[in-house]
Amino acid sequence: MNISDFVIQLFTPAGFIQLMQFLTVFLEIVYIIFAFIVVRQVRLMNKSFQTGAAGLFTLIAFTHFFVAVGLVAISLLIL
Amino acid sequence: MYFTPSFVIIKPMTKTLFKSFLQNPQNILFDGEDPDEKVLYVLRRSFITNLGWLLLTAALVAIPWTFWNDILKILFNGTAAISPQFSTVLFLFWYLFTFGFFFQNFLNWFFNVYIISNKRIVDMDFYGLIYKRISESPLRNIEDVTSKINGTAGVIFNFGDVFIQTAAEKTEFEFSDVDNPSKIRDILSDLVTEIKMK
Repeated sequence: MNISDFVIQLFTPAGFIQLMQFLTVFLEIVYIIFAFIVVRQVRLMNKSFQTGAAGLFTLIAFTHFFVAVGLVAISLLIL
Repeated sequence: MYFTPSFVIIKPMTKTLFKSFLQNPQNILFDGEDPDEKVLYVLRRSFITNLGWLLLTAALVAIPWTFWNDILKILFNGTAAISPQFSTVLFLFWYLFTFGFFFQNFLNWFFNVYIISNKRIVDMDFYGLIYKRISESPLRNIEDVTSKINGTAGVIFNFGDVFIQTAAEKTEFEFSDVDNPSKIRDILSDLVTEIKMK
């Protein structure tokens, strides 16, 4: 398939959906970076201001990160 | 070995988790706290100031339940049916994003605190993901405290700003949108008077 065929393919309903699937996976990967930064941020915040909820926040941040990773894995498997 | 049910730990925590005015808080430590220092008050922005992002979160939660099929139709121009797998992935991603949005905003509210200890005032600012600023001033350096309530919401819910003039390099501290600013001004004035009398 040459480039012009590929571009034409994108404007068909099936091609457009494929493009959207690719974009969704890409955004999910970007989201993993955000989730990782949140984990680091929670660590920094807990260090600066320690409360009884520190463990809870860490747990939530890690869960959020692993769910984001899991979602990319699921997307790659089923899409 | 005894098992402690989780609600025994979580219940007392939830009592303080959402408060914006904590007096003599327990189990709270901040970076740089001296061994003989005691945290007297922890203040945050009034909880009512979170209304904007809380409503947006509620809208983000509600949208898929009400308009999900319409969104998919608009997004894909009604030209082709998308697979149930792709629809599920989009649905899950939407909620993950919504949760991330909620959590990020909650953390920003929870950790942006103003601490009044028996030695100093501390202003901790975390904005977004990468900005952190911590300023502090000994109580002895405080020269003047002013409180201000403005706006309809401020008058109704009794929140506003407290401006603290100091003799230090950073000349003014601002406790923004805190509950009961007049009481905080009074507390600070009393503490400063007490420390200067010693």
